[in-house]
Amino acid sequence: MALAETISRKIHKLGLIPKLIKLLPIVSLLLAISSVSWLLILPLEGNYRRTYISENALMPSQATSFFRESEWNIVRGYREEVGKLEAESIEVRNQVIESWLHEIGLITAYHENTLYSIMHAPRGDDTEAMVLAVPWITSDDEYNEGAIALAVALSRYFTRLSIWSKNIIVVFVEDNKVPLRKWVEAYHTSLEETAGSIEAAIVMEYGKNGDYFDYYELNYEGLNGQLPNLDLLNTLNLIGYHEGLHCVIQGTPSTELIKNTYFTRLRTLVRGIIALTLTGIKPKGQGCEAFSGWQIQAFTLKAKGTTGPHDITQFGRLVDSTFRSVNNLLEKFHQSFFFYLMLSTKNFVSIGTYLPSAVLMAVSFTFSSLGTILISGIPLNSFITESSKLLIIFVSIEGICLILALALPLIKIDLSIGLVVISFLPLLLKNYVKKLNKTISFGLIALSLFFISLLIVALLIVHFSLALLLGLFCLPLTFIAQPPKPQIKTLINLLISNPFFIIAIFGQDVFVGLVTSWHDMQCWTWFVVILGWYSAWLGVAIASLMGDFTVEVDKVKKDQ
Amino acid sequence: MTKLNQVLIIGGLIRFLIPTLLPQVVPILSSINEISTPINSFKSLQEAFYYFANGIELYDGGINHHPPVLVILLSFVNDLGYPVLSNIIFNLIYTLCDIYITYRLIALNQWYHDQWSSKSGSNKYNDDLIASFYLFNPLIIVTNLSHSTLVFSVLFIIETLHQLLVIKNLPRSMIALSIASYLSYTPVWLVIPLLALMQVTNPDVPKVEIYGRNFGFFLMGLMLFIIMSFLITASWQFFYQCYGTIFLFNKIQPNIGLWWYIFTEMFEFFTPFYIGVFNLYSIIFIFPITLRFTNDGVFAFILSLIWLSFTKSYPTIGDLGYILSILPIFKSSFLNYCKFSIVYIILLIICLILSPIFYYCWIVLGNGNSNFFYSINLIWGVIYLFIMMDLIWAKLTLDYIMDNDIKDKEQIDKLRLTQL
Repeated sequence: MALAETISRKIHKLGLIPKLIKLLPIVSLLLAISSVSWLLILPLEGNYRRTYISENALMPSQATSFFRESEWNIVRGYREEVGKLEAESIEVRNQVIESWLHEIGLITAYHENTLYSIMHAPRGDDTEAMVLAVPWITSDDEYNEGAIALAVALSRYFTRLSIWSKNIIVVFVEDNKVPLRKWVEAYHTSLEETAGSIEAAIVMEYGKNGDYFDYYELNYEGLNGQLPNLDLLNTLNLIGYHEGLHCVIQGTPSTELIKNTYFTRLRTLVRGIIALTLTGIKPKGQGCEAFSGWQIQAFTLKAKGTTGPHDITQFGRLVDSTFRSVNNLLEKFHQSFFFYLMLSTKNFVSIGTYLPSAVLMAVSFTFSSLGTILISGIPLNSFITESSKLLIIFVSIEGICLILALALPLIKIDLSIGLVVISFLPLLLKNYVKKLNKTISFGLIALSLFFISLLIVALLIVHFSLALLLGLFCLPLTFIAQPPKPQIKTLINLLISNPFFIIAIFGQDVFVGLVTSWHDMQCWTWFVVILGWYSAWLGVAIASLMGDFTVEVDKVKKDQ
Repeated sequence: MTKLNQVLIIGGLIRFLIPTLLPQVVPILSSINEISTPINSFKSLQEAFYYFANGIELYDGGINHHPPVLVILLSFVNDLGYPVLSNIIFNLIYTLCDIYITYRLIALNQWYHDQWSSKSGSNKYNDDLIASFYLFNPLIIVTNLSHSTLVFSVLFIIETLHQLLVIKNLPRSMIALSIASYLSYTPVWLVIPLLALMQVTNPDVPKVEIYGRNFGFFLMGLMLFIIMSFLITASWQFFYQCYGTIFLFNKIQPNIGLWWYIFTEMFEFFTPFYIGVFNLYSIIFIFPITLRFTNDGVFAFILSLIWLSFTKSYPTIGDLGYILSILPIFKSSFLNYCKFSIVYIILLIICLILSPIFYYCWIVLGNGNSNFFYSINLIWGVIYLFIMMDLIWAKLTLDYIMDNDIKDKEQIDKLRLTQL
């Protein structure tokens, strides 16, 4: 207490607080800059960690997989037959696959056009399951010939092993976005044929690569910022390593398979953040995100290249060995990390290391909100007397946004450019409507900025990527009020922080994907964008376009 | 219409119309663990109604933790035969409770102002503001809408103060406190600051009479209720279920309090030790608080109340809500010297946002764990500490100003006190 008292006396004596208040805009900007720099230093040696297996029970690659050359002929045979089905309708394809699965001796069932088979575990208590999902079309719009054949061959192979203590479900699904999501939802709510709680799921993509492939790509992003347990990814990567396979994540080009430098790590980090934010929104799904929200750890495996040294059974061994590891688990995945950012397949940063970045961003917004109020030169009491008016304005803005939030998903057309134009309606209105008074103008900006900072805090843990990107995109809003700028600068600041403008930049598919993502995938990013980001943006826009700042500028100048 | 009436009507309508038009609100809110706990939830009360109506022992199964008299009185409303009508009457009862508390707070505000304005020279908040602070406090609104029985307990605590200070009826005040204690155990410790408060406000009455007679009233009231409960249920099981659970921290369903985490399986070995320490901890500070602040007995009483809800075994966000709405009464004296309110208001908002999110991460998504949720409980505790520190410091500052008779406004602004 004595130390705190000494410090507080010192601060008081030096008059640091008034000085600090004057510097608030700069402090806020510095915090935002340090937030970004924090991310930039993460890929430096010493800031990230090497991956490791945390759950001992997993024991990856400890057992020899027998899915080898002897099975290759079977895979080839199935692939030959699957190739013939390419022109057929989904019903016919399903019938053929179902007859094969019956021959193997598996139970099959349907959900809409999704066929799935259940292999009840020879050991174990029939309460837990692992899922192998195979879409008919890969995420690159290719006929998923290899993976379908592999899935049938693996089903056949699994039945001959007596070691399984978790049920194995193999799902043949039309497309790995909505239909797979629908199946997962139905599995947990309405399906009759089920096999217990799903512990882990693998989505497999092996297009027309033939017998050989070069390396595999791993996708792991879930919906709403969720990630699978890092142990599962490490298990797969360790198995891949023992098979001599190369793995890439976040679209690393094939020429950089073994490259691990600062820049490759930074690129993986940034791409990972963007990919996690856009999961469920992009028109094409990866597959693994369909399992989000049901406590299922899932990833997607894609075979890449056609000439490589690795054969298709090796791809099957990845699945087999991963299943055998998961099969060993006695508890749900709970060790290792659920919140991480990958820098390469072998390096990651955990939540404690990357979180300060978004925290700094939130603090930056809080400071600029405080700065807006304190620098305006308006006595604090008048903000309190106007608080009810401010709240009413803000609540009505929220109301407008809520209507948009519910209405736009019904239209399903890319309206982003139109919405950007409509957003600047206050610019036309200001000549006809009475100007907002100074207190309300400054108050509304401060309230909106504070709202963004609370939004970032709320998303901090659940959806770090969204929180961070939101903070970055909204950053221009903090420059508007302190000090008030010429109109053209304000307009530019407003334009580059407008959500629909940024969505338009991301591409036209993103808008439709975003508005339909809640209905299709239960991804709530749309509501964050419209009820959080856009409403705060509107608050700042209305205040800065229709508000009264001019007099205040003169006053500040006179005071100085 | 006066402003006060407007506030009362709007506040009342929020509490009455929302659960009447959207009956599903009550069960939803009463199953959120920040808003209600097994000890005061309406859900378990309804379970108890069912037991009572079907002739099952009230405390079988360990679900009901409400005292028998409360269960039986309210079951008359529940057993009207028309569930819709019963619900409406329940809504009405809870609404009226809050309106009643508001009136009592307004009267207390007036009383406190009369005591202090001459000494401190500060103004009070108007009646309509006091009513708004109470009726529009979102924490209190959700507690009321969840039909938590905490409302009754608070009502009798406020009634205790009102009877003592405004009506000046000491026995009734004691009886009100005994009812509050009977309803939820923790207020039993408020008897200590209350007796001190009685002594301060009634300097003419001999001490023996104050302490002896009134404490006697309190004990008799409490005994009466307990014996009545024993006679109704014909067993002492209620005592264990209603008070033992609170005392022994038996229900470790997560809540926003500090202790549930410590009673999880991980620390099982230490459980008896923790039970002892935590109970002692919640009681022991009542004495120094009372002794130090006897010159303003109401402050000691409210500070003890804050302390008790801080160290309670099953707190809810409502506990803090009530405290925050009682504090504006002190505008007449030391509230102007509180400095950190902005800090704990922001902390409070952040806590209220993050607490349900972390609970969701832990229970639904499975990617978080209990530590996430508990970290927010710790921050919740920090908010309490901030409030108590701020209040005590403000009070001491005011005492210093009054002792040294500093009148000059500028001098007061420059004044910086240090703790040595």
